[in-house]
Amino acid sequence: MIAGTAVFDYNNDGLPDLYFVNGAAVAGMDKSSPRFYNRLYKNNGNGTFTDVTDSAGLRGAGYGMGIGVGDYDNDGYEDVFVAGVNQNQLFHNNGNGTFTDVTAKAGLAGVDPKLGKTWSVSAGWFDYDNDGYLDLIVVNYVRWSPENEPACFVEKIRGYCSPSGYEGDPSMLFHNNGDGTFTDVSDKSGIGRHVGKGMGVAFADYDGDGFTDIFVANDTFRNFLFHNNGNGTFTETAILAGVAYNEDGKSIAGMGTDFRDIDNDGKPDIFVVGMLGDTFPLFRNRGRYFEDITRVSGVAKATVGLTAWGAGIFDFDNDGHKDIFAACAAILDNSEEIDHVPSKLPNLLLRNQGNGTFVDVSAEAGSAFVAPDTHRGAAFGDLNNDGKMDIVVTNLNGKPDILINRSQNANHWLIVNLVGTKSNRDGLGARIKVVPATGPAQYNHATTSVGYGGSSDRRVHFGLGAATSVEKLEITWPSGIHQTLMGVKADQILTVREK
Amino acid sequence: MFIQILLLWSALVQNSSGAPEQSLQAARAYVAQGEFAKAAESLDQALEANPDAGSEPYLTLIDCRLKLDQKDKAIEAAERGVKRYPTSGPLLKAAGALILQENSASDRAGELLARASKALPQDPGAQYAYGLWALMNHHEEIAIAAERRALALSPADDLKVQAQTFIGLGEDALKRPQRAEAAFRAALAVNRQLPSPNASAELEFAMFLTRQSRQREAQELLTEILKFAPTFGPAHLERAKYLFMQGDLESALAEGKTALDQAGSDLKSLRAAHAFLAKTYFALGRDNEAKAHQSWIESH
Repeated sequence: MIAGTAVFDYNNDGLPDLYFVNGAAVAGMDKSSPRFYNRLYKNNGNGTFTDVTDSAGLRGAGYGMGIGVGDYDNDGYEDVFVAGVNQNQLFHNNGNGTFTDVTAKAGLAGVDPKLGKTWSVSAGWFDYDNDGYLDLIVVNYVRWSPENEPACFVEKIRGYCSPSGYEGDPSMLFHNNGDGTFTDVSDKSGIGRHVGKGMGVAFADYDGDGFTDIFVANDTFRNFLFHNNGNGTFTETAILAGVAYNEDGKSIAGMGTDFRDIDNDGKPDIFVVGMLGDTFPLFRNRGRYFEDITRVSGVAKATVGLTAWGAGIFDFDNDGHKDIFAACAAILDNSEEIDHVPSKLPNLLLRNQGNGTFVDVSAEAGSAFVAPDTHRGAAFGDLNNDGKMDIVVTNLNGKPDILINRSQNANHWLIVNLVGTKSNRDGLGARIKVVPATGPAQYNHATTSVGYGGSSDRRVHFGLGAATSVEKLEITWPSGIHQTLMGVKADQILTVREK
Repeated sequence: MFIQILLLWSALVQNSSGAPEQSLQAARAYVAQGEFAKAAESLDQALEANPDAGSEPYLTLIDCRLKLDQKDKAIEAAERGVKRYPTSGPLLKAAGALILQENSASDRAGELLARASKALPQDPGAQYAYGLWALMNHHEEIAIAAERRALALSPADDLKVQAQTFIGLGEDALKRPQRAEAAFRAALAVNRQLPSPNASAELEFAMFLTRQSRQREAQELLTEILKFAPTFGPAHLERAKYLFMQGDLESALAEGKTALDQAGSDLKSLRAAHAFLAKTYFALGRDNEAKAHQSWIESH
């Protein structure tokens, strides 16, 4: 199943770096062989990267699955949480190019008092109580141990067993105490009462009440939408809000997800990827509830024959309308034998036409969108700071793809680098509205939690189309502070400090 | 792909040419009298005593078990027959179709139906069933080829409608919308001539049009479907979804309720209708009613 990847600037040189989690020998979850190390690559700024895993101390331990990046101690350096099988790890960024494993001190090992060791797939940082410190949700998959793994066969061919054959696990929520330790608030918050088979997690304040909500994509189980009640508790509202199932009322094999405003109405929408035959649901936010626009938007037509893992909603052509990316591959690495379908698939790029519909432009998006591979996790960011969103995709048992965006157009852009002071330093959860000189308004928010086990560039990107400036830029910080900037020039990375 | 079309069982039933044996006459008499339990018992005894009595008793036994709503036993009888008569087209077809109905992802069903299509090259039902299995298992090219073979054998009109619809679905999955539309239109033309048009097949066309962002045409088809099949729940649910997106929540609610009323005992249809009603009531601010539907979903 592995693995996720991260795009983040570990050394604050302004260049997003890359981190890949890796598996281990299944027997004993042994990671001692270099082939199983997680890998950190420093962005050299010239189109090349240098492996700095060892000097950074980020080899990791055990069988890794996903990554969550966030500055949990507000020291100005991004920290790394790795979700994995039977073991999670938190690495504190020391600010000098090295990391320290602080899992035990933080209390984030992933050994739940009731559940025992968990199989965690994704994790995400967000400030659920707006106290200025990033909290952590860890998304768990199923009850599993190598000792009790059943053998599943189809016509005498060994395959992975279906998730339906395993019990699910609830996600875990940890409150940041602000002193380097965390308190498990899974039960108290209500998150721990909902057993699922979680794969992907994304955040947004979907109802505009000032508190960040959580969407969890579950595998062969209905999705969860945890509405943040603003008092430390969450209410699971996916069925009522209309995002639990696909349009046929069926649970899909939910994997990667993203939660962003796709139609520039100021309300974050939800995209989820699944497997062959599911179609990938696209839910349009109407405030309190969502409409399933998968069919009418053309997304169903484009995705009905696909299986995908990573996913993201970003404006890849800077035309002011966020597009959709999905990292596609079959579930099984031997699906040719088992399901008689290819295990390798090309990636998918859907262009937002700005009228509620999407068109598949994969064939024109470059060779990486035509060549099939065993794609898995994806993370997004502007790796070369040219204003165009790039994509990093992992491949099962293969080299990753680093997709540098070479879109040929004259569109303008703006990247906002937030520095929280009263809010968490990363500004995660901040909502941004920009009004380009040519209009109309656009909306995005700061989050690193995207897709399947992935963590993306925390800077917030806007495509501005023909606009060479932004008339008005409004930031609503998690602290509640509302900040407005007027007459912002386009085509820059703008650092905004909360005040 | 959500295939609403049920297996067209009538297309799969084919009389055996095997000569009846004397010992099976009692079973036949029971069948003629509608005494299927006794007939099945007699056939079981007869086939235990003489498993080589021909393929026809197995087929009769399968039919009896189905009439008794004993699908597991019908499959068991079919597999016994196939084991004894591995080249019997009718048995292969019946066994494959039964397994397919139980588990659309079954490789065993695919294997049996592939053999049936070869054993019965002139039987449109065998080609059609193999095509259905292939479609449901994402072998679209195989499905399209099988359905084309079925159509070339001048099948009954109801099978023509289904075969063309499956071709449409296969072409759509292969991202060949023009070919898909041609097939759906061919199905529609035949369907409109049928004394009892196939609502499920026509709904697939409507859903295809929705996927093509051709809402108005899709709605016209839904209207047509509900004229000849006013109690067809899935069409009401599709109309309800459309009304929901139009913001006409009260009308959407009414259609959703009709869909639920017409869902019968089909769990998938019930779940889809309850899920729709939960979100519609919630959207209307009628939270208690929404939660009642949520509770139904959570308890099923």
